[in-house]
Amino acid sequence: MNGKRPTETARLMVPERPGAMSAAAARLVGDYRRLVLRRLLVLAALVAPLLVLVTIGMGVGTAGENIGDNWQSFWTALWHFTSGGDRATLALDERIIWDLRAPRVLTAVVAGIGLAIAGLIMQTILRNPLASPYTLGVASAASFGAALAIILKASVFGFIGDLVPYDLMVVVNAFVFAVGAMLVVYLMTRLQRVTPETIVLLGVAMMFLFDALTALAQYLGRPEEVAQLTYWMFGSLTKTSWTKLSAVAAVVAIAVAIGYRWVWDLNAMLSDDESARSVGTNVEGVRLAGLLLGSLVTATIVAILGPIAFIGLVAPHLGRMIIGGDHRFLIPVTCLLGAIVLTSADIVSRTVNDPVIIPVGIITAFVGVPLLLYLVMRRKEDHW
Amino acid sequence: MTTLTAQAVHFAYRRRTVLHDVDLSAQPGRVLSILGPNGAGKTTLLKCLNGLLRPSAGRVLLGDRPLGEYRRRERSAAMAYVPQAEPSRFPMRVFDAVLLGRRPYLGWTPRRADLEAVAHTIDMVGIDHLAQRDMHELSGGERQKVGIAKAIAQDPDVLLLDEPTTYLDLEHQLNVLQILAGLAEKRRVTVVMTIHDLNHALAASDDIVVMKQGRIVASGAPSCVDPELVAEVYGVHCDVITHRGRPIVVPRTEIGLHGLPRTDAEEVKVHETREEEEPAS
Repeated sequence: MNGKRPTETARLMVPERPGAMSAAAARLVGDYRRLVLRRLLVLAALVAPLLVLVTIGMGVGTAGENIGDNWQSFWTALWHFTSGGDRATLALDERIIWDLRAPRVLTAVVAGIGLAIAGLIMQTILRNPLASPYTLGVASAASFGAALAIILKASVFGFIGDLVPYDLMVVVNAFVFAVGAMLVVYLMTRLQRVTPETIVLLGVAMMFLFDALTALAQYLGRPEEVAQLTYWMFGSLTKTSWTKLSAVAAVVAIAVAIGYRWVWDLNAMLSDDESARSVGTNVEGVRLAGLLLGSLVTATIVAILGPIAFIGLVAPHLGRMIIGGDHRFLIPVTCLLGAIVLTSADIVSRTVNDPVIIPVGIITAFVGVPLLLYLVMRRKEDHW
Repeated sequence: MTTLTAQAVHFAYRRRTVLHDVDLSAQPGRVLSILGPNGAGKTTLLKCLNGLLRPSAGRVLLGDRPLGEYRRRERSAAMAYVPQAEPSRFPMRVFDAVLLGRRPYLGWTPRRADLEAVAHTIDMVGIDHLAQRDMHELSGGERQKVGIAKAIAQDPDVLLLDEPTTYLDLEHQLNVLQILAGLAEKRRVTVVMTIHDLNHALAASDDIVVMKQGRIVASGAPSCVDPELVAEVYGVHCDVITHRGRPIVVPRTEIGLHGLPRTDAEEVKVHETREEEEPAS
């Protein structure tokens, strides 16, 4: 046995007679290849609406312009900066696109992808359709971290409080609390061996705890601080910038790359842990790393934009409905759906009450709740 | 060609000892059945053999190396495990589920050889009509067969199965046992399973291990199962008769009022019938 390498072609699988497989087996391979092709087509078909939404998003705003001009302004601005031009010499149209709309729309795309993949990974590794950055308490913890920074002016890095810019302190605090909350939940599950399904209950407990703490901070805060915190707690894309966008994009890119590395482990973990282990998946390892990765992505997004609900919960459900459980296709589809939902919510948030921009977190809840209710009502038995 | 050996394996959940000093050796090309009443430690033993649980003392050898020395992927290419089928809450097609068995051999995307292996296995287990169905639409028995197909697609040297015939109707039970016998005979796979049906065990096994309260109380050829052993292990009186040259275990317990614990009044009524029983040869 010791000589057998995992890459060795299946000895068992060679059909018994030399010659071809049975007709039935050949048909199965054909069927499967057609299925894969169909899934690829669905994936390709989802790219188009996203591009349309991004284009529309560039055009929507108080300074109304037509779509062709927007892209032109974008490329002009891009060319201007890459060829070492100065901001001041840029035309107003180009500056609106470059400074405001482009980072905003692209942040919607990237944050949508990030929240979606965080939710997908959490749902799969916990085998629980209710898992999401919110139900696991990550977002609430981040909010409390922000509340501490805004109201008590206290940072987890108190000693450098004077050296760090205030904005950054809010972000860092939110981030540290989010990851910390996830670690606490995970450690509790290690102390008392609980099923992955139960982890969500612990997460909900954390959510209530941190929400209460945030409420306490609000109660103790001065009015102007409370106003600032309240504003922070409306997840909003208005807070973005090119710098923040690149930070979010970097973390999201890492998450998507790791998710892709794990596709077969994630697929294996859809059935029970024992089956997953027996095909060589490091179940505990992927579960811990996945929880941390999910919190990392969520924490980054929430810390910068504030909490944006429901995308992490809804996008994976929609994705499974559209393309099934195979993560090779489910990951890109879920990411695209997350981006589509958040860019459309952003467009709605900027048009529904023009010129006032409604925080996008409010819109996603309005869109997400009916969507989730619909998904729950149409599911068959225990199945998602 | 891989032998699976347990040497003096102990296992305890918290303070409750589930396995005492278990020795066992499963040989390539043979089917070994682990018998015993509920709670005897059969599944725990299977999980120790498979590396899901780490014995608190003793060791398990896969080939000539301790199980712990294997890397994950290496072990999963050498040994497959079929737990009792649990339904998943997320969608997955049968073909995709069986394809997971190829995971130890896969890069990012399955090669044609992997797809052919999966198709061949699905055909061999007789679930080709289900290949494009979703797992959750399947009956318990069909799911069990998918689990077995997945394990076969894994192309293991050692195949462990936890009650592979549970949930299956008679035809499919025999079907599965035949597939396992074929794997052992033709491909020299080492097959180890737990099973409740004594007659299936006698018919399908080359070797038998009988457990009670975490200990092995008998092991050897199927002929080691005799009325005394069954009475000792299960507390059931039975006869072992020979039918068409095969041993068959027939319980003496009558089902119905006769079999239940009786009050004194009832005892009088059924007394005579009990006395008339005599062991068949």
